[in-house]
Amino acid sequence: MIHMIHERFITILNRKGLHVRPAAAFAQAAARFKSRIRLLRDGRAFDGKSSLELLMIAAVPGTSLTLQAEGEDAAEAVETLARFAANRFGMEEDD
Amino acid sequence: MEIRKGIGVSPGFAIGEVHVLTDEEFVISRKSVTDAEVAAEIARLERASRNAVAELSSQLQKMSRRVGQSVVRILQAHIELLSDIRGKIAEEIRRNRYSAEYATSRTLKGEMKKLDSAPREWVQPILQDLAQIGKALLRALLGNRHEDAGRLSRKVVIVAHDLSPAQTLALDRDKVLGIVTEVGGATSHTAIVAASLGIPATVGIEGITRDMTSGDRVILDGGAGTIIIDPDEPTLKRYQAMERNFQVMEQKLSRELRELPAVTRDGTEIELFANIETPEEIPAALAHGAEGIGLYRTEFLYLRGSGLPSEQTHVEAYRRAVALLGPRRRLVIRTLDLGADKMPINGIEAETNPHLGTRAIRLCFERPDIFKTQLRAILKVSALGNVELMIPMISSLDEIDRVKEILDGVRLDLLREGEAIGEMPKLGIMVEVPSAALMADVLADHVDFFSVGTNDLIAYTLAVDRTNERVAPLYQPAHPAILRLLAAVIEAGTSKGKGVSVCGEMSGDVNFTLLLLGMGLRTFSVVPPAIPEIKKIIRSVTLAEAKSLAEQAFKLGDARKTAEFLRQETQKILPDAS
Repeated sequence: MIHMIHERFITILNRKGLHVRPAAAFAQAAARFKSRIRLLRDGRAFDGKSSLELLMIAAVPGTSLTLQAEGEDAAEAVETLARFAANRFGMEEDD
Repeated sequence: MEIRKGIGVSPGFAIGEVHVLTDEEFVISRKSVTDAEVAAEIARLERASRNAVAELSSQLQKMSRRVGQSVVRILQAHIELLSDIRGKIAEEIRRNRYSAEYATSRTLKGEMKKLDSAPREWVQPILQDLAQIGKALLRALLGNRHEDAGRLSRKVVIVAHDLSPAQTLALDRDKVLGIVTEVGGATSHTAIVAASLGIPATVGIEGITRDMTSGDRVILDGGAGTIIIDPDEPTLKRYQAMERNFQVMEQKLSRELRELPAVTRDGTEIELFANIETPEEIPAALAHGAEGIGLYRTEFLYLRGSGLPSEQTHVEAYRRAVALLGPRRRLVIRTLDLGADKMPINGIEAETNPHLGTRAIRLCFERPDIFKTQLRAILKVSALGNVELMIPMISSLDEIDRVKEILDGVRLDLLREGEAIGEMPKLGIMVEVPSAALMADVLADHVDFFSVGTNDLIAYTLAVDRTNERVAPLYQPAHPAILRLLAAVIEAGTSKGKGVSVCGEMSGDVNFTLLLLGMGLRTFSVVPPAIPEIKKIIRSVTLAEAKSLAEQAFKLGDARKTAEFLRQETQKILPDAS
């Protein structure tokens, strides 16, 4: 069965960018979905379920990324994770 | 100028600059493993990563004053990151067959390099986190030790928190003037190796890696156990003169005595053997006048690489030893004397008290595969030379029976395989558990020889861990209880015509030579540099004199008085002995 690929632009709002803690939080949130989750930057893809790969994006504050999900729960994954990014990955104001 | 006192474990002077090995310094060299070892490397990595997670959590708790969510989040992030990195390292091991250490170092460096183009200021904390995780992993992999002290470019005094025997042996002898460590006691393997290599060493100087920086000047007195940091000119001159004197004395003593037999004045021949950790030490041992090897500790084979040593590894080491000794000189190989805690074995639970746990022969009974591998190698090599077999940690007769049963099985296997093995080597036991010492008269009927391991015998009898400085003063070799046990073991063996030697540290301490002789000991096995002085004492007394001195010592009935009495008597013969 072929799944639709769902995509959404997200912007990193955290004051310290996508650093260690938000990356881990995102990877954990992404791991709850069955779909393959990827973040794209300048044509390069990073595994959204690996906090190490997320760090390698080197996303400083204000960076725009493409959030992509492929799988049976792709629509829900994109929706949830985009909201999570908009909420600064659940971090405090200064994180 | 500042003087610090520790425990002198290897006499001699070292004057020069220090090279401080900090905990953070890991010199990881490129190392590959065989296809068959890949799974074991990955298992090591898994274990290390579990330990690293535990270390990270304790570190974070210590570091952060803020409790609550943010601490938990950092911890979760690091653990998450660690498991990602572990996956990548495992891939690296699988793909390139690298050792776990090298794969870890490579993976971390590779990941950090990917962040090269990111804004410096922003990326700094991330790099720090990654480095911290990498170090935690390496620490866990290396068991809190450094792989080696690196290639040194000039002569230095090594200052470290701790040095493993492997590291000590890996040190470039021409470059290392001396060794100073923060931990370790006189009985630690590091101390034993340093003494046997003749490298002056002092251990137990707290905080020294923090207080000294590479390049600082130091005087190390491995006899007195002191170091002098940043010495002034007169002190320096004084010690330089002492160093020259020491070397001249040492060489003279060794040269003069090497060719002379170890005979008492009334003509009784005494056997003087050396203790070694690797065959490489044999030439030095013979140069000091050893007649053979009374204790070959084989633990180094187990601690050297990753995974357990193969039969071939054992065979090669024993062959080398026999080749260096020749066919006639005695080589006593002691089987594995480690606890499960120090071994690269999977699936063995940590024990709360390893010293009273599954160590040495107990571990061998639990894992006969490990034991048989070593026995096979010993039997294979025994025909080539004068090889004898010694079992550590024996505490009862049935253990000797079990050893013999396994040994017979191994011999039968080898014969069936068509191996040309000779006669069964002589079988001896270490007497180091008080129960074995007390039962020595019974055990003597079942073995060919005893070798008394005084370090453990004293520790078990007096219930003292010598590396615990609060109770270290209670570790008293001259304690009347120890003297009684020793006398009983010597009597039990010799009266039945069985060889008895003492291979513990007491045997290499000149202050006990007269006493041991007087108690009837005829075989000593000691660190090589101690041989000349002990020979000198042996050659200067008659057995009757030694016997009367031992009787006097027994009457004193007090450890301190006895030690002092023995020291004074020894000084009459060796005025320079401390």
